[in-house]
Amino acid sequence: MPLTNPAPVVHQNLQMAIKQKQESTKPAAPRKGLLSSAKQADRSEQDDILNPSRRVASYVEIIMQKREEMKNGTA
Amino acid sequence: MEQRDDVISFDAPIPGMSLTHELGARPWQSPPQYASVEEALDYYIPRLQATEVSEQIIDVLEMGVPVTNLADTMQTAGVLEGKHSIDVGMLITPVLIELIMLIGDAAKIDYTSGLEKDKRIRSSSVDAAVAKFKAEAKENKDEEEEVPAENMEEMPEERTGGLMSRSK
Repeated sequence: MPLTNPAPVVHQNLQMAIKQKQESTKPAAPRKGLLSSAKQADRSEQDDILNPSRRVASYVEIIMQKREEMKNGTA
Repeated sequence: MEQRDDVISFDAPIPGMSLTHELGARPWQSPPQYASVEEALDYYIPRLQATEVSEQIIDVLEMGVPVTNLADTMQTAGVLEGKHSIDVGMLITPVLIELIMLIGDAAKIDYTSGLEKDKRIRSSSVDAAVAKFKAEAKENKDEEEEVPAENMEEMPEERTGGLMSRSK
């Protein structure tokens, strides 16, 4: 059957990516050795900023949080 | 080629229909007005926040139109008007869905999101399930390797009843 509306699939894929990112994000222990690279953490943050889909994921997360707050009556 | 029953062939465009105008005459054939996701969202968000538009959206949602259909229609219209490319349209679709649901929640109406009925097993969900299963299997394997051999009980040997079997 032809895909007439890709919106649900796009939304579900993004939700899954957000969940996977939340699960995989672990606080890494800081390396204090002389040979440790300090740029590694900065590089992942730069990737997040440069990748449009990750930026969109962050926007969606913000709006979802606001919706949850509105539903719970905390906003 | 086998004709499928669920596809209405008369609705499809005639072959060569896309070539009836000069190349670049259509808005979507020229460079888009908004090239990035942020520019496109800057175009959509003030429009969605406008009172007239949000009231229309609430009316449409109350009629039972799914949120996903509404978001897809909006972004498709943007592509047809040459506001943004299809790629940017696909990227901003989840944001539009969330914004429309936010409008619906703010108005406290019951709406259909359009996300419930899509419960087919997709490749991404299968990949996620396989990755999770692999991680669990690896954990179980590590636990099995850690069990010391001393704790293992000696299994009683089965007695063989053949003619050539060794008797003690």
